[in-house]
Formats: sequence, structure tokens, C-alpha cells
Amino acid sequence: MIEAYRAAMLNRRDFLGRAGSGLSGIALSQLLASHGLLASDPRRPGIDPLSPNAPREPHFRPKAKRVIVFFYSGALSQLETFDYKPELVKRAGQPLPSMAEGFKSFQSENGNLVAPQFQFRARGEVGKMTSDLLPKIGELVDDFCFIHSLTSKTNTHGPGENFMSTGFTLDGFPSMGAWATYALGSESENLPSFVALPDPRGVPQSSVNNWGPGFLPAVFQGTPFNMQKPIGNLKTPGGVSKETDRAAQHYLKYLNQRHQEAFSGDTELAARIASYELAARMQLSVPEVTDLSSEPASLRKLYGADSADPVKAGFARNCMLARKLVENGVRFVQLFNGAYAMGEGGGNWDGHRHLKKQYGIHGQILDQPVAALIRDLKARGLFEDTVLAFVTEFGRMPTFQKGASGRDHNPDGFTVFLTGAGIKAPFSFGKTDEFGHRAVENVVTMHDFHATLLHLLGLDHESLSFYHNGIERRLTDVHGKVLSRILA
Amino acid sequence: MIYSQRVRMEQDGVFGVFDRPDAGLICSRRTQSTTPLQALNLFNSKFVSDQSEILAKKLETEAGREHDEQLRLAFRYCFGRLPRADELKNGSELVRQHGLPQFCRVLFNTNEFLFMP
Repeated sequence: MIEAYRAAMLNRRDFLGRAGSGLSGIALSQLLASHGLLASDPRRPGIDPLSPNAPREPHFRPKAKRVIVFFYSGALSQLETFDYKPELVKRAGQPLPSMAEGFKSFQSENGNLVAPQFQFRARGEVGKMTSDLLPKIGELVDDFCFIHSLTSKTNTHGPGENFMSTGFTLDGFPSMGAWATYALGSESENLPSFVALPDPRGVPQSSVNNWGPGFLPAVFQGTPFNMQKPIGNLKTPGGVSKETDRAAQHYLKYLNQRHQEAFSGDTELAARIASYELAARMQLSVPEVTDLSSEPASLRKLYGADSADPVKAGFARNCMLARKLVENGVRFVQLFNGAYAMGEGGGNWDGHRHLKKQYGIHGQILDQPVAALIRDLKARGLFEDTVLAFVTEFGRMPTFQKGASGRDHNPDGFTVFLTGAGIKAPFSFGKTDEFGHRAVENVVTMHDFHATLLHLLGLDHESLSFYHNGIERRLTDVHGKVLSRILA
Repeated sequence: MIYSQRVRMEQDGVFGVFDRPDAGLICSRRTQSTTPLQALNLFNSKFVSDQSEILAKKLETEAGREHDEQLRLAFRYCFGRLPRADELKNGSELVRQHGLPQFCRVLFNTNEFLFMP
């Protein structure tokens, strides 16, 4: 009796389902809209399920067609590279004044102020002071726009990498390359639109979060590979000949088409047939794009791909690959320098204890290949419509840690720089205090930085969104202002 | 997949390219996408190769040495139906020239096996 009574009633789910969809639902949404409570004008890109990678129109005319992000994993010190602080030389050995107020950084107690570990000198026509750690990159300062006042809201590597790559410190959010691909689709018929090139030594601390799709459809994720590690499952399984593989593909296509006849309106099924065709094209085009043997010896030398150091040669080859990828229509490339697995400072920029020694080694690996890539892009006319962003998760302290010869984490003010399409150069934006510790002038948030990158691609960061779990999500959360002063 | 152990910052080797939620956030509704990486994963991965070998052995054990019988059983296992004449003819041709595991590899990759339209 009670059971029958229950069965006749609506359960809570049914009630909510019906209430929201019937006439009352219409009334409710009108009421919400009239009070401005419904998200206005989300501009979700129209995605054709049959070809989710088809190129899509940006919101307005873009300044850049593509992006290369250079990610220096481990937190590259602003004080040893581009943020010149003469006061730090003058007052080396004295305490940082804010220490007296009980300031604490990430890992351990701080000692006194320490001068930059590499000599600074004026470079370029602009006379920008940069250090001898990265001299070949330094030669190109006239093309650069430095942001000296970027800030992060975390001083921990994993969340810091997440924040830089996804706009959120937590795991699970889409990377900026995934957002760009979701918005704009692909320019390439045969290659993934978004490629992540991990360091030859391994992946960064936050690994796949840096190029993952988060809650966006997986089709927009970055495809990780590099000159050391090819795309997974690209090759035909061992022992299967080309002829056998072709016969299997042929029979598969036949069965799928036969099946499709019964469901001719189903675009998902058609999209799967198309995806096998793209996969077959990738099996040809990826080995082609990763084949550097036809690059002239002089160019290999310019990049340092002929170096006796296998890590430097490997990183240089990844830089060469980055150029070939953008040349072949890849829209977003994320190139990593520094890996997590080798531990603190060993294979990355996390210079807590032996900063000068470790940076000396890492600088040799980084400098020449990156400078060569910029020059190569210029020589091929790709520089004008490519924006290049040189980033890291946060900066380092102006002090050494007590009992160590290195600097602790500092998210309160650090340097990144941009060059290429749409960027005002030479230019330096924002300032840290006299010690290079905290951003004090034109303080920039990660959201501002992301808003600016999207702007360069012709996208309005406030209206590019994806509905997830009850929230119209954006790369920039509910923040961010385009840094119009750094734009050309 | 109902329960499995997960390392948060590693993409799952098989399901990572199939919109498997990355366990970073609560996921109330999974996204769905169709990508060439999925095709490569299903067509070339060791997982699918191994499964094809296993199914081929099972078919040989249960259906005997006749190709047509093996194929009929495979269609019943994978699709819940018998093959049409042309499907059987083309399939037998593939098995004759390239072996039963190749035929199983194809079945595991078909839309009919993977989707409920």
C-alpha cells in the first residue's frame, strides 16, 4: 500500500526535472533574466561534431595566428636574468627589511640579501640590463617586451605550473592551449592543433595538467611528444606488415560504412570514421615533421643541435621541431625547459641550494637553442604572426636561504617576457621593489596575462566560455584585464 | 571502468585519450570527443593487440578450425548477431591472408562494437 502510494508520487529528481522544463521553467528563466541573473552572452564556439578540428572564426581580427609558450620549469630567478637590481649589489649581506616583520618564504628560513650571481650588462640598442647567464637571448632584447611585475598566488611548483598553464592552482582545469584550440580549431589537416614538447629530461612537475583538456572535450588537449619520445601508438604494432595493416584498415572501413548505412544521420559515427582517416594521415605526417635530417648543417649548428651535451642537443632539436610545427600549421606549441624527475635544481630551475653552479649548467642548455629559434622564425617570416611567451611558475627571493647558496620561492613579483606578433618592443612593463622582491608598479596577475594572450589570438577572454558543473567557465575565472599597454 | 587506482598527474594509458575525467575536479557530466589519438590508441596499442590475440585463441578453441565458423562466433560475441554474406566473405579473406588476430583487431575498432547509437 505504502509502496503503491510512493510510486504514484514524483520523486525529488522527477519533480525538479519537470518543474524546470515546463511552463514554470519558462517563467523562472524569464524572472532570472529580468534580474540579470543568467549569464549574458556566453560565446561558446559552434563545434561541428563531424569535424571538431575545423578552423573557427575568432571574436575579432587577431594580431597573432599562433603561439609558442616557452615554459622554464622550476621557477627561473628574475634576479639572475632580466630584473636588474643595483640595490641588491649595494646592500648584499644585509637583511631584507621585510624579514623583520616576520616574512616567511616557502622552504626554510632566509639569510641576508645576495647580489645577482651573474654579471649584468646593457644589451641591444635599448641598453636593457640583462645577465651573462643568457647572453644569446640577451642579444635580442630590442624585440622583447618584459613584464617585471607578474604575480602568482602560490609559492608551490605544482599549483604554480597549474596557475600559469590553466589559470587555476588546482588540478582539473583546461590549459590555455586547450582553450585556444576549443575556440579556434586547427589550421592543420594532418597534425594536432596543440602540441606540448616536454624537456628531453622528462616532464614538468604538474605534467599533463600543463597541456590537458580539463573539462573541455578531449579533442582539444595538447598532444605531448618531442624528438626523444614520439606520439604514443603512432606506429603499427610490431610484427604487423604495412600490407596487413592496410588490409585491416580496409575491412574496418567497410564494416563501419556498412553499419553507418543503418544510422545515416549519426554524426558521431561519421566522425569516428573520419578520425581513422586523420590518424592514418598523422602516421605519415608526424614522422615527416620530426625528421630533421633535411635541415641544413648550418642551421643545426645555429640551434646547438650538434652539441656534445646530449641534453642541450636534445633541447635544441625540440626547438627545431617547434619551428617545423608552427610552419606546418600547428597553432599552439608549449615548449618545456626543465623536468621534475631529476629533483630540486638538478634538471630544472629550482635553485634552492647551489644556484650559481646549477644555473651555469642549465643556462648553457637553454640560451643558444631559444635564441636560434627566435632568429629562425624571423628569417622565415613566421615571427610577424607568431606570439612567443617566455614564462615560469614564479620567481625567487632576493636573499639566500640560511645555510645554503640558493634562493627560495617568491610569487610576489617575477619576470616573464613576450615577443613577436602584436607585442610592443623594446618595452619593459611594471616594476618590483628595490630588491626585486615584490611587484610595486603596474602589478600584473596571471589572469591579466592570459586575457592578453587570448586577445592577441582575437578572443575576448570574458566571453570565451564552457559550461561545466553549473558554471560558465573561463580561462580567466572572473578576473583579468587585457594589458593594452604592452600591445603594439 | 568502475573502480581503479589513479595517479593524479599521470594520464591514463588507455582511457586518457577517451575523455576520462582527470580526477582533478568533480565531474558531473563527462565530455565526449572523437580524436585521431583515440583511433591510434585503439588500432595500434599493445592493449588492443593483446586482446585480439586472446579473442582469436578463444575463437579457435570454441569454433574449431573453420574460418567461417570462427567469424560467425566472433560476430555473435562482439555484435550479438550473425554476419551478412558479404561481411563473412570479406572477413574470411582477411583471416586467410593476414590471420585471425587481425580480424579481431578490426572488430574491436568498429563503431558497431564501441557504440550504442
